[in-house]
Amino acid sequence: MKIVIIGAGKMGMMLAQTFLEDKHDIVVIDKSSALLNKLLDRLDVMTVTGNASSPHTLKTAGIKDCDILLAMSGDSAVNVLSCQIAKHFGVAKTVCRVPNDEFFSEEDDFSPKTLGIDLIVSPLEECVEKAIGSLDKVNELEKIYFSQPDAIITLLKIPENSFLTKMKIKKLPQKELLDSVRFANILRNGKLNIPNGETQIAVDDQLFIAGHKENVSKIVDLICPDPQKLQKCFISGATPMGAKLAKKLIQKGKNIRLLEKNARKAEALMDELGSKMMIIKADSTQTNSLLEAGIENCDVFVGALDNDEKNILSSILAKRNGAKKVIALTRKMDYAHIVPVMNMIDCGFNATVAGVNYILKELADFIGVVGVSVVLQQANACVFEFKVLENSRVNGKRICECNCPKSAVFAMVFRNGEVFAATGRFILRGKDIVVAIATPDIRRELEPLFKNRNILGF
Amino acid sequence: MNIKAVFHVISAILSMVGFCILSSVPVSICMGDEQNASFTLLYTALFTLLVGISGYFATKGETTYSLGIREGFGIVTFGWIIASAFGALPFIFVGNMHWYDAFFETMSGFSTTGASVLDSSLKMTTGGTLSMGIANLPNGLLFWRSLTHWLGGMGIVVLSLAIFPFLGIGGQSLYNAEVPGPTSDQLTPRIASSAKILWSVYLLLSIAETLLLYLGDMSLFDAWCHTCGTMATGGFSTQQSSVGAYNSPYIESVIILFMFLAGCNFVLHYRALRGKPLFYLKDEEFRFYFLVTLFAIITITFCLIGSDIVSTSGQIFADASFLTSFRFAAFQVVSILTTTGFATANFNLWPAYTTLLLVCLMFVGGCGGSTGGGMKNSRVLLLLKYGISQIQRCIFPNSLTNVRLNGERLDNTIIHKTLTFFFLFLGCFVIFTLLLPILCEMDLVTAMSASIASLGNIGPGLNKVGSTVTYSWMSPSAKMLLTIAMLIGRLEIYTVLVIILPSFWKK
Repeated sequence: MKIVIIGAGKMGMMLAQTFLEDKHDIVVIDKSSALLNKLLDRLDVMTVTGNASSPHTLKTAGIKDCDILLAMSGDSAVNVLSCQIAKHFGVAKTVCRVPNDEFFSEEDDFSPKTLGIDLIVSPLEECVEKAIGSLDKVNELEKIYFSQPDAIITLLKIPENSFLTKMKIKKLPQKELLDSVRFANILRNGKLNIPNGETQIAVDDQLFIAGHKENVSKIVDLICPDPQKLQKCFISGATPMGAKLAKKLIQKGKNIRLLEKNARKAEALMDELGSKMMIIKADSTQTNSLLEAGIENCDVFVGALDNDEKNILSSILAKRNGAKKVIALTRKMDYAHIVPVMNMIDCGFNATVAGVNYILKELADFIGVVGVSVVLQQANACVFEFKVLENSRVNGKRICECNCPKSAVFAMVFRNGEVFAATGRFILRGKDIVVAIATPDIRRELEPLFKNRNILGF
Repeated sequence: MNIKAVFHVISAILSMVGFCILSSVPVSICMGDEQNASFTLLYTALFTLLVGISGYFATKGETTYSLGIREGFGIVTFGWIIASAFGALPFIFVGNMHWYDAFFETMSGFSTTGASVLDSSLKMTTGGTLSMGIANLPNGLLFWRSLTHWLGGMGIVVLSLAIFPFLGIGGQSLYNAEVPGPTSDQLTPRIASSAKILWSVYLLLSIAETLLLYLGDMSLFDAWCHTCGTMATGGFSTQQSSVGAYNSPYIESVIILFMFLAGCNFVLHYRALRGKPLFYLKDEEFRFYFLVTLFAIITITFCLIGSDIVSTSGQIFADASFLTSFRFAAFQVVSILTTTGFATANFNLWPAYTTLLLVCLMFVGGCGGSTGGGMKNSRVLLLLKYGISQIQRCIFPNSLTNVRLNGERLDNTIIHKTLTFFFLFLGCFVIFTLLLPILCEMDLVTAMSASIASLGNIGPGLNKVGSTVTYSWMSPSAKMLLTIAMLIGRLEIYTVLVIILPSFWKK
């Protein structure tokens, strides 16, 4: 498939990399030839320097025989315009990055479709959604959702007082409830370990629990019997991301304090959001300002500044000064996998990863890949959804007989809208969807298991 | 540098070379070579294939390698050296040549230089000499000799990119390391598919030329061998006296046409074949190349009128008319400018102006993205434009540099790289000229012309390495030095010189 990407920034770079692995033809357009040259050194793509909102540039990039346009530049006007032009040239799917959905209004029948956009994506919004998912409980670090709305994988940090830490997995009580979910993976010291019956879970391990929403939340309550309700939230930065987060949290009835250094920005935000929150003029990278704002009584601190480094540092400062849970939001790809493993930071969410995950999920059906992949935020691993094809090798086999690579694990199976925990005895059938957790490079080994066998039977 | 990864790819390239040697075995049998020669050729082919395939599996990693800039340079430079070493085996075992002669001949073939050691004075490992020159060699070996040109012309690494998708190698760096010219056009989103396109254009033109030569009363074998020499701008002929042996204006004009086409950017041919022939005229480099050719042909023609022209086969055209002068001038100019090195006349005997002009053309060479050598027209054009803009700066000291090629402004890094290339090219030329007389006794003109003829991948030079003689008289060390010059010239200096840097090897 031919894919044209506009913008060689963080989003463009990661998308190019991801789609290149699936052997798609990729053309990247950007205004800056320096950025493009950087891309050329690393990836086998074609680049075009120019203004992507001009039909001539798009024609040079071969828009006429292109299947997907991903408009990912930082300028939403350029993105919207280029999607419109692309539709004119007959591109099947156009994806447009916008900062928020204020561009459109459903009630006036002015939807993205009218502008020739098939899908809008806002990496910041996706990232904020992710962060909100982990705001309810201290120990819940990440929630991952799937094409099956009832299914979930929750990443849980094991608290000190949990009963889990005292015995081996196979000897745990409440067998019935435990069988309805699956302990898919344990993240210990930044490394993934696949648990079996003999494994003993330790304090501070991060456990991936997969299964039906209700069962998982029951298990979570069981493991962390004394869930502290997180009420008081600190957000640093009156940035678009911070504002969005504040808005959503106010709706949830949380108690918000927003720290912002720049008084004018803070006032603008105050006008926008109303009076339900306190805005404090403070530099969140300074201990004094944090203490003054009352950080020691804070339940959750979210670093949502425009600067990744400052977010990381202010989160560490907040944790040191008594915040119960700190979340650092970042954009640079390089930080995506190092922030969550930092000792002083509880979770880290990356806007680029969140945006790319969203696009991959939404485009999976159109591209027709065997597996949808989602890059995990807290570990250097991916979650894949594979569809079992009728003529594939695993069809009709028990999961334990599937020759699954050692470093990958099947977490759950969706069948006819129901969620099953993927135990070794489970027999796979055609049209099942299998969810697997694995490191990104294992994907190549997993894929052939689910594909139709060729004539030779391989 | 990940040495295992480099040798993994080189092994794949080597298997391809082995397969190409293998393809000359049936030719050898059909052309009625001695059975012994065909079998020896078969053994060398199988040996190369074996080494290549076993090396490929021995270095296979658990996952596909990711190749960086260093690996790209390593693969191209060492790939060329190793391919030449194994490509020399047929010459050593079938042709009974000494290893240094064989290596010289193969590197000259792959680098499309076309400088040969094959003549009646060449000493063999058997103790005797090659009494009848090229005619003594089995046809299978001559076929392989021409095939080295054809493979080297478009580049063996680019070829492997096109035919081995499973290597999974991509990235502009590998491609840029082999394809000549200051900038390279991207035809398609994928390097592998661009490589495929260029090779198909190359193949198409080669088939066309072979047919046209075949119609001109050449045997199919000779037609194909000369096509290899032409399309790759190489210059190996199956005749001791090169194209001059045929003394046929038809053959000469066909070869002139295809030499000229081979010296153009192949991207233009591709566009023309897609139905846009006007792209030729729109391209500034092509216009420059065309004008240089035209200028040289016209002035040399007028210089030659009335003089006696001696063809390479010894025939004398006394008191040359306009048409005769034009015929010889055109062939020699296009042959030298495109760095092919075919000859129909002994231009050593021509007036000083014409010989000097031909030497100047040796420096210019073909166009970027062609199979030709030299410094490339685009670089010369770029330097001319840059020179003018610098002169303009004398009046407007604060003006910004605005050097454009085909309407696109070139940024300073490209200009600096081109300037440095010019300096390094001349530097290499001087160093090789200085070293040659030390390694082997020769006069100044021979040393200078042998040096540029190897560095620019031309082949014939002046005096003792002129168009009617060969390099067989040189000492083994001088021959080795010239093979280095050929490699440096073919891979456009940077790719080879970067290997010498200590920082290339440091982790």
